[in-house]
Amino acid sequence: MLFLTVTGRNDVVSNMPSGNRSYFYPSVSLGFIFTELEFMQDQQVLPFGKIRASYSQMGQAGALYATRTLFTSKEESEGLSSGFLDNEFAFPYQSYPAFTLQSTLLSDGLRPQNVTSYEIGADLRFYQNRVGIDYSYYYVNATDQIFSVPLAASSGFRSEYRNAGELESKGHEVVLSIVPIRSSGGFEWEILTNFSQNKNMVLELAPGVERAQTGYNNFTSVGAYAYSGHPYPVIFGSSYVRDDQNRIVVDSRETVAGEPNPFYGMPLQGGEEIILGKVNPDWDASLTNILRYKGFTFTAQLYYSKGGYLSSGLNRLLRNYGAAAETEDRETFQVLPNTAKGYLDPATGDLVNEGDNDIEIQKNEDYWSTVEWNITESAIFDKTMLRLKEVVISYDMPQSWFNNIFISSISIFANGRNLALWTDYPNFDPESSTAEGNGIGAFEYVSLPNTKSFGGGLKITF
Amino acid sequence: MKKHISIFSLLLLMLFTFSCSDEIMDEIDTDPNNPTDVPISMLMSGCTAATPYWVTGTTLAWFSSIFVEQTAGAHGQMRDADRRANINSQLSENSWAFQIYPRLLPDLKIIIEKGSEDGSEDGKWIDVGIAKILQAYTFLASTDTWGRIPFSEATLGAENRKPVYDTQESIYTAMLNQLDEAVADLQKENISTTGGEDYIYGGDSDAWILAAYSLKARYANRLSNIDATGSAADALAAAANGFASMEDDFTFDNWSNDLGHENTWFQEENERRHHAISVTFYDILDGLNDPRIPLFITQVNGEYVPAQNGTSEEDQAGTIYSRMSTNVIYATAPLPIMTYAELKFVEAECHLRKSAPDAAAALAAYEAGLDAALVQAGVETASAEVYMAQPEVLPIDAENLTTDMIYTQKYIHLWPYGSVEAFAEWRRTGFPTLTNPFEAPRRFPYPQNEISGNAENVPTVTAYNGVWWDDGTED
Repeated sequence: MLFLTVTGRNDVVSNMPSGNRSYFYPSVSLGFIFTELEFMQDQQVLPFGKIRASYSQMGQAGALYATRTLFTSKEESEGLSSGFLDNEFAFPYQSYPAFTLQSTLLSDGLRPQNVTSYEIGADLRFYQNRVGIDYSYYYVNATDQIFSVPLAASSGFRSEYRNAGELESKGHEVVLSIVPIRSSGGFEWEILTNFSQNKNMVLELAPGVERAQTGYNNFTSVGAYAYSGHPYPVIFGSSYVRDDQNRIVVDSRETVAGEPNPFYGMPLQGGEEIILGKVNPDWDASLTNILRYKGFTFTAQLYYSKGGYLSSGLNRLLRNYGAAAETEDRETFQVLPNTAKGYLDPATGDLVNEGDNDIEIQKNEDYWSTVEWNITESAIFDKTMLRLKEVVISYDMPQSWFNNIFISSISIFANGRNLALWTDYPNFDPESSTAEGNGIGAFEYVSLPNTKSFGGGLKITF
Repeated sequence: MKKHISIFSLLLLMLFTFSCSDEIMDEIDTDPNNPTDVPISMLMSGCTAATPYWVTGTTLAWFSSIFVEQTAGAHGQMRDADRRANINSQLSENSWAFQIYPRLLPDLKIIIEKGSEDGSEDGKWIDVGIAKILQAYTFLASTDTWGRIPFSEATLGAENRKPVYDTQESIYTAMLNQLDEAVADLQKENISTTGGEDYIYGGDSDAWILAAYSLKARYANRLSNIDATGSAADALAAAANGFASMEDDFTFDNWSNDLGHENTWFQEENERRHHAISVTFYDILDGLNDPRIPLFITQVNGEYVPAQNGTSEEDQAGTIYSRMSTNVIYATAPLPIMTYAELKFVEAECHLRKSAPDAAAALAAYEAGLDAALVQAGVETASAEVYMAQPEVLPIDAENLTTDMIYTQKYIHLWPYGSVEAFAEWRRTGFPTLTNPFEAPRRFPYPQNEISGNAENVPTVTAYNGVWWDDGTED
């Protein structure tokens, strides 16, 4: 009826600096099946009910070899690269090896990070298990989070690996199962739903640290960052200039230095990089319908994800090379909808707003390959989507068919995965990602999308 | 009883764990691939390749070439640069924030510390001298490019994460002195055994001394707008000990045909193809019937078709505009950092500018420079003679030599590999008259990396403000 679990654990790790190698972390969890109480036993409404609460701490060490700044060999990926050229000047060259001081500053001040979690929940099953709810709420607080924090390169290092932040994560998870029909004729309809909402926030970064890069995408300047007081992670990059009504401002200067301005009527780029959107969805849910009748089972699963942003390298490239459908019309003169016009004062960098935009432009190569190309924000898109994730039809053959042989069951099935996708995200699957680690879901750069697949099979159990 | 056993075994386990000592842990935590210390020789190889690669031969050079109209942008980022569409903090990201500050400068500093007194390889004075020359060159070319930059507090790591930006004046003073120091170091009693890992001069200290003096002459001459006669005297004094012939050139000539080790401009022209011939450059050559035209420039349908900076068409394919010839841009083409010919042009100018001008000495230096430049370009003797027979190219009377003639020949000579220098020289001398309708930048913007990570120290300045030696004010 009442379950209490207490654990204690002490880790001693070599990959932390001397003095910070040993750390202890406990956990307590309590579960109570209240339907086992005497007065609850003789009722049919709620045959099973459990509530639970837990508290746990978890210590975590950093990466390997992260306590001393080292020299790395300039081989392959560590060679010289211009950032423009595809090939690097690799060493050893002419039989001479080369080393360079690594560009991440490491120190022996590193401490293990600590994650404290609280969770409460309930598991309730009603009416012969025909309705079930499993709910939990969690709150996670991560202190001394270890990040690679960007440094001004003039310090001699591009980043510093250090304890730099406090993050919190909280959310709800609900699993609801309902069996609306369970007929005596053998027909059953079951609905399973799953809802989760998770909010990650950066509560605080170490003094002097404005933002910490957590994901990096090659080829483009966009990054995923932990930014104090904001959801975690956020995409950071160059942006449009906007007026006080949040409208994009286009360049109103017909001429520059007496020459026609090639970017007249096209969006202006802001001077500094800003937060362009949070990466993670607001919430997601799945809905699974299962129909069973005399050995036949039909299952269909829908998945919906709301919100979150992805930086799309693919769309940026398609536009740059004029391969996206939206770049097809390069002739029609048009005013960019819902925009203002103005220019940036060359002396102060401030916006001189000249009101509603009435400048007709062609969306030509200058527009796509220069203006839009240089503005990271132009290729940041909402990831909201609905997906038909899986459909399965299966048939379990009646036992009576093979009662006297050594086969115990036979079933055949046909399935299709990822059959349909509804989204406003352009030209691609918003669930694709090319980044690694904490940047997952922030960038996509010509990666392999989810594939549609069909299958079928025969399952024989002996 | 059961409880007792489990507590006992837990204690046992803890004891066992703690018995693993700190020393053993340190050993486990030692990366077998990446050492905590390396000898100078393994840093020297990287530095003597990285300096020409990053400071002379890639991003800075390509953008400078566009700004000073030695080439015109025919595609992508370079065409955008010509139209001033990307003169922003991204432009300097690669050179500053990936290459020069976090990679090259720390390694050079470590070589100097290790080889100097009390360093772990005390007495390797040739290495120290080489590193000081490369460091001086890198800081001077960088301050020419950006203006005020972190210097005195740069690359201190955890000691200073936000270095101040020093004045260009203080960087010039310190680095011109450092070139003298480097010469002194190269003459000290030495235990260096540097050879092939110095990809530039193979550890030849005499050659490095000539390079140090020649660089000093170049950068002393840069201060002509600050102190006309003093800078001329300083430059001439240094030049007297500089390169004596083309054989002494400060050049990276160690490329090879294998992938990645090719000349950087060759790789650019093969893969990215951003540059066409600029009309500004072409007209200067054409106006003097320059025999270098067929050697430097390709034809399109039998004609020379240079591109107008700022308004050129997109032409990555190279079907519209003339491009740099394969005589100049090829896989193993040497990458000059500073040449004898350039030194002679510096001397010629200084002889005209010094407090007691000496036209004859100026003409002699100019002619020597021009001769060398033509030989280097592969011009046949007969064609060179015809070219130099023109008085606008080589005046008969020394009194007719003008600074414009010197600037012209230097500008042509610095094409295409000396564009970083040519961009600085345009800002100092106003030569050539640019034809891009859009105003040219007079420095590179600071990178986003510094604006984000060192905001309190980054000067507020636009790319169109001159640097100190340009207009006399720092920002």
